[in-house]
Formats: sequence, structure tokens, C-alpha cells
Amino acid sequence: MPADRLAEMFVRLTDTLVTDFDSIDFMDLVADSCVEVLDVDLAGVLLADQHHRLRTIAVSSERARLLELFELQSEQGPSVQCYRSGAVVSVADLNMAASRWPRFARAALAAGFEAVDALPLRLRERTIGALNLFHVRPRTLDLVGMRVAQALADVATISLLQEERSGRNDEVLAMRLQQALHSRIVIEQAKGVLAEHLDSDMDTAFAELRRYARDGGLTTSGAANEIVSGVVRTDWRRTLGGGRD
Amino acid sequence: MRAWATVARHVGATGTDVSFPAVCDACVAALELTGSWLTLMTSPAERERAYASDPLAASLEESQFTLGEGPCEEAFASGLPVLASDLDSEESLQRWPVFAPAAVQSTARALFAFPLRKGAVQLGVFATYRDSAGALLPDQIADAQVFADLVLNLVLDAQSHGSGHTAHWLNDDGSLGGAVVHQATGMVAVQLRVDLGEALVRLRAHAFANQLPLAEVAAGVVNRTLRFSRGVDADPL
Repeated sequence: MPADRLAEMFVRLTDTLVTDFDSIDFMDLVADSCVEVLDVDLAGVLLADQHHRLRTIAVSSERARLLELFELQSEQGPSVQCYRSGAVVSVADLNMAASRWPRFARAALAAGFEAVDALPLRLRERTIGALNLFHVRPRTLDLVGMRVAQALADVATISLLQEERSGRNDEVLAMRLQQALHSRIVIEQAKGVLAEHLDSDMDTAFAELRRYARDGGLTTSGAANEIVSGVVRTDWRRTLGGGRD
Repeated sequence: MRAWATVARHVGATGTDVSFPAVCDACVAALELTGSWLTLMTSPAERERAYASDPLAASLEESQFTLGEGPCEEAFASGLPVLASDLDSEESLQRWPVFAPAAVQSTARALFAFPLRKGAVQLGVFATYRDSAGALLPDQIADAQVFADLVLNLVLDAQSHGSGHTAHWLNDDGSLGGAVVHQATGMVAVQLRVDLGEALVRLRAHAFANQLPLAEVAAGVVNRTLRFSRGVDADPL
């Protein structure tokens, strides 16, 4: 892991934290950083909702098939185990985990992944979610990689508590968690709206959402909000200038 | 889940159906609060009080609407919980200069408001109050949010197939919140040219009428084997 890449990554993360902060975009950046710096093949950030079920907040690849690997873990899998125990879970060979997590292991192997790590998002004694890393080859993170990954997980956790004027930490965290969970739901709703307007699949809809955000200088959540609030009236084919006619 | 157990116990003890009052009362009992109310709203102007546990709860609801300020107004506008643990504090008095002193005068000291929300779908606010100041503990905040979620599900159910049929979501395995349901909600909103709340209600109504899990109906929409059209509930392709 080259030191300059690592330094660059943390500069980018902290820059984002202190400037134009958006929890979903920040979690996206954390997931992307994992792939870039840790040499993992797929990364995702999951947060627990009020029912203690893990919800997918950000993934380094939004392809529907890969998203499913995280979604599956609302009930079983390494992330759930990591969340419940508050400890790292590493599986170097998913073939050996078929009896432990039959549905998850089958889906992960079918998508081409052989190994997985899950690290807790921890705030003092509480665990609020997990950072989930997938490997195409049978391996887990080495010691240095694990420490960087945990640092990224910690940055993701801390980001939920930042820039709050007052208030108790528990309350701020509860709000931020709710905000992140709802923002992610709005993104899924906006994907549905776009997919229907464009007669496309969800992957295309997400790419379109990203493009709309980029063109308008908006966060992904901001773009999603605009799209769902215009759901009744707007002609997206024209507005987006895209889609298949 | 403690909240579920409390509701089940409460419903069992009082012999009532799982209903707004039952869930609201169970929350008040579990968190040692004084009272609660439920406002269904689609915009700050369009609203309807669905429940109030006592006259003070009703007047707290009413006065926030009249004044256009207060924790409930803020919870609806922001889509996030507003936890006012002391309405007589400097912070509260600054935040709600008219409402806060009036509420304190009427013996309400703490007010906790939770939006009924799923992403962009917002159906109202569930609010509770206490006659003494004091913050909710982290576990109590989590429990209150579970209660708010129960209320949200009841509201959606009442709109999709009338009250008194709650068994299917009480036994829900958690697939309810999956991404596919949210994606399908967006698609159905466009198909029917309705807002997202209405789309979610129609999805649930279809699931209920056909005795199917919601996630399965949603997957049908996303895979384009099921399509909703105006007039008819849903057309299988």
C-alpha cells in the first residue's frame, strides 16, 4: 500500500468532511477508497435501522446484482455477525461458509467472490453498522490493510456525528442514522421513478441519477430528492435529455 | 423487540385490535410518558388528527398547527425526529418563542416528535409528551422509533385495505424495507401518476388482496412482470 496513495485518500476524505458534507456521498467515498487503497474488489457500508436490521447505505459498485449481496445481509452473513458481536469477521474462503450462511455464501460465490471481511462501525461501546469488503481471490486483509480498513470504518462512523451545533451525542447519532437511512431510501425511490420514465433497468437508472447530480452540481441525495418531488409532473425524458426513445 | 412485545401485551390486556390508540398508548406506557397524539398530514396545511390520548395532547397538537411552530412542525419539515427534552430551556424558548412558553404554561415539559416516513414518503407525525423535563435514553429513542414505524405501517394498512387486518405486517420478516420495495414504489408512482405515498399504498393493497409478500409484488414490478394502470389495480403482463 503506497504511502502517497494513502495520504491522498485521507486528505480527500477529510476535505469532504469539512466542506460540502453529505452522509451518503461521504459513505460512497469511503467505499470507493476501500477499493482503491486496500485492493479489495467490492466494498459497502451498512448501517443498522431502529429494528437492528442492516441497511445498505453505500456501495462501490451500484450494479443491482452486487447490491443484492449487501441486501441479503439484513438477515444473515458476515456483516450481521460483525454487527452483533462488534468484532471483525473474516472469511478467507466462502466455500467453507456454505453451511453457516447458505443464501449469502451461494450468492457471493455466484457473483464471483471467494472471500469477505466485515469490520464494525463502532462508537465507544456501541456498534452501529459494518464495513463489508469482498475479494475475488481467496484472501483476507493483512494486518496493515486491516488497520487502514478499521480507520476508514471509524471515519465513516465519526462523520455521522460531525458539525452538530449542540445536543447530546446519542440524539445526534440517532438523527444522523435516520437521515442516512432515509436518504438511501429516497435514492432507491428515485431509481424507480427514473427506470420507469426511461424504460430502463435499475443500473441505468442509477447511472442517470449520478449524471443528473453531476450536471446539476448536486449531491446524489439532492438529485434523488428533486427527482421524487417532481414525480407527478415532470417529463424526465425531456429534462434528462437521455433515455431510450 | 421490546416495542412489539409491549404492543402485543397491551392489545392482549385491553382486548382491542392493533390500532393507533393501542400503539400510541403502549408507547406512552413503555417510555413512561404522559400522553401522545398522531397527526396525519400530506403537507403543513393538509392535516387530520387521527388520535389524541387526552385533552392536553389535543391542544398541543392544535396550537402547533395554529402557531405554525413547534417540534411537530419541525419534525414534518425536516423528516427527522425532534426531541425537546425541556420546553422551558433557553434553547427551546429561542427555537419556539410562542409555542414553548404556552406549552409549559399548560404543564407539558418535554415533547418528542417522530415523523412517519419512508424515504420521500411522509404521512404525518407521531408525537409524545411528558409533564416533566428529561431526555430520552438511547434505548428509549430507538424504541420510540420502532413505535413510530408501527404507527406508519398501521396508517399504510388502513389506507390500503381498511383497519383490522394487521396480521401480515406483524408477522413480516423484515423484507418490508428492502430496496426493491422502494424502487417499485417509484415505478408505480410514475405508472399511476400519483405521489410516492399513494404508490406505496397501492403496492401494499395489491399484496394484501392477492395474499402475497410485499417484496414479491415489488419484485414483479421491478422485473416488469407486473404493471399498475389507472382504473385497474394491477395488470399482470
